Amino acid sequence: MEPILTVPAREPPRPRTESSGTGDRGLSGIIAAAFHLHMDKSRTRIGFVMLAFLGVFSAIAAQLVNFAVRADPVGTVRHSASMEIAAVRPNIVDRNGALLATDITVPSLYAEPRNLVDVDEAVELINATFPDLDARELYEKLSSNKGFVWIKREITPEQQAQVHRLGIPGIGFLSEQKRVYPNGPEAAHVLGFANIDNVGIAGMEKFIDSLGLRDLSGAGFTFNPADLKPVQLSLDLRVQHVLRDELQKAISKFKAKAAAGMVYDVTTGEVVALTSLPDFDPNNPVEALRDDRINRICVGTYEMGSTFKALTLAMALDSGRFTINDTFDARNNLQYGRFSIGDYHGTHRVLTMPEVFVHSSNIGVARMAVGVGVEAHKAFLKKMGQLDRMVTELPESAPPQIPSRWGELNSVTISYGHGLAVTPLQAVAAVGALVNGGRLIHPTFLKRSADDAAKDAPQVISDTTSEAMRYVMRLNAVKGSAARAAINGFYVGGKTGSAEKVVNGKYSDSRLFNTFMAIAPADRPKYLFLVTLDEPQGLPETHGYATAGWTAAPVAGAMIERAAPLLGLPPMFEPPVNPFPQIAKLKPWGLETTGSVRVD
Amino acid sequence: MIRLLNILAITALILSAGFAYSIKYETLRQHEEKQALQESVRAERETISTLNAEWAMLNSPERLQRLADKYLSVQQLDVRQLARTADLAPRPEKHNSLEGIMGGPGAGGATTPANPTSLYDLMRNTTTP
Repeated sequence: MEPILTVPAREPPRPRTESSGTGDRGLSGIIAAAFHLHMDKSRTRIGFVMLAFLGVFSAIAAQLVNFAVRADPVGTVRHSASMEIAAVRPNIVDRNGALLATDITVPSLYAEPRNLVDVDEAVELINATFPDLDARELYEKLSSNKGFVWIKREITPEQQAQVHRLGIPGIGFLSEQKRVYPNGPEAAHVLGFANIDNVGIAGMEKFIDSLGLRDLSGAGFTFNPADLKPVQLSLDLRVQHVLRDELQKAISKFKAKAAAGMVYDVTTGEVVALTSLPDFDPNNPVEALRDDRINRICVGTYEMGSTFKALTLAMALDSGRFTINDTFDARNNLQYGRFSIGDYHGTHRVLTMPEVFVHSSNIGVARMAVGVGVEAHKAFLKKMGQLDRMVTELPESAPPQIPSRWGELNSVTISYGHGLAVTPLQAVAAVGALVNGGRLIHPTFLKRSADDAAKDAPQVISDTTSEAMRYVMRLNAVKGSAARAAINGFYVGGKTGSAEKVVNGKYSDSRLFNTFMAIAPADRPKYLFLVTLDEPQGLPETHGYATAGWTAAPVAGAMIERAAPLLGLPPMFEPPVNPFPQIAKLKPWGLETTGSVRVD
Repeated sequence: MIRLLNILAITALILSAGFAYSIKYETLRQHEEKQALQESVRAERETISTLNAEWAMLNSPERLQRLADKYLSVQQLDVRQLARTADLAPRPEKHNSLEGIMGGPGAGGATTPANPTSLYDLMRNTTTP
């Protein structure tokens, strides 16, 4: 049988011959000769070598896969922890660049319980350095099977050195960012605070997080603190201190329960200073969440009392139904069913419009509200932003408390500041619009220019009405309740308010909520000063009176005197020439007195 | 010929390998240097921010007021202490010579000029009986 496939018989190996010098067998011959290659024998050798290499390389590959899949768990946990604490925050500075909040780097102590050799010894040694740590808790932490636990966050460099010297294996330090507020409780309510993980919890700190920084660092972006632009607030630290200092003095002097104040730029809507007492230290914000530590300017809603009369007067003038020379019968109390509306400083005569303001006549403003009508009153307050929640950069805000059914009686009481509770910030923004030429500017806590503010500032009252409001406020500082705030040399105007607080469902005449709003200079207002005192007590030197003219107004006066040079308000040596040109033509009551700078 | 080429190739290989290694080690060295610099920059930045915080703390208005109350005897500024330059006394006239100040040439004694214009004139007026 013939084989289908014939394999040629292998040639017998050639006898080895000396090839040097011949050159006829080419390069392969040279290589074969140089390495003594014998194809029949080398085949098994090559196979053996290939196998060896394959084994070694697959072992390496397997180890690589092993490394990639099963990463070091301890390292990962620590990495994620260091990611979390790397949450850097931008500095917060005031309008002049003074530092209000910054990050500093502090060491924190952690342990890797899996790598601890002797837990008992570790607990003993660590506890010797940190006597305040609970030993049992620490033992439980360290004997767990976790890859990473914090022992103590934010320790001092000395403590770090001590622990380092102990030389415990499985214990280490991480640098953390800690938020510090160099000025302590100053501006605490505006700044808010950040927790131990550097996450903003309240105030501007929370606002900064809402700008998207938090999401970015959550997504794995880390920031170098030097890359972050500082956040510049509208606050002026020096004015802030003056305000807080004066309010603290006022609290101890009048034994008030609380106090709050604000300095507001009516041309830009910037809040230059804001204090609410009692406050807290954002460096140690354990007290920050207590009920009495709320931001009374932004979260507290109050019946603003007589300061609201400014709004009623402006409404009456702006509606066109009344002029500044109209008179109002205040001879007798107004009767509304079983309610009788009377005046605190009863004059029992017919009053002109400026007199209604200066004598703070409830009857007068009630007649204005009735004359304008309920719907127009509502519409005006809505336009002035008194019926909606005022939202600013600060996350803390509160809606106003509006009567559910708003009849004529409600309008009458609201006309003199009872029956509608708003936040002081809201009232300040509205009064700011009354005096700045009639533009309602949204308040801000960030530095802003007047041009930027004007972009979104609707004209809510006419310029003439605004001038009339400046006129009556100046008049009130010369002849009325605001005289104790009128510092000679500064052309101050203002309005007091002493609202009776509701105690057990009734208005109490012994518990007052006093407000005072001052503007300076009254002919071209730049700043509005607000002082509120909660339940101040009368003193012998105030003749027992606890009303705003005797309590809040002098506080505001002292504050203006100290703050004016800081705010760049120049003192006037001569009265401004024709400060109220449009109003002067109407020759209203009291015109001759507003021309003087001095108030004696 | 081929051997020469081989030798050349091997030499070139060794040289290029040596060059590559030198670059690699130089890169490593520079990388380490960069890391060390970055670390020191970071440390400096941390120190700066800590010092800034301390500076702000030492300059806080509350602390300054406390210290001023304790160690200084200055008072709070009163508005009445402010004045305008226009309200200041007029500047003395410039005299070119001593004679001008002394009251003119040949003056036997202290004579008052007809119209006092400078502070000196006014002072002389008040001092001479």
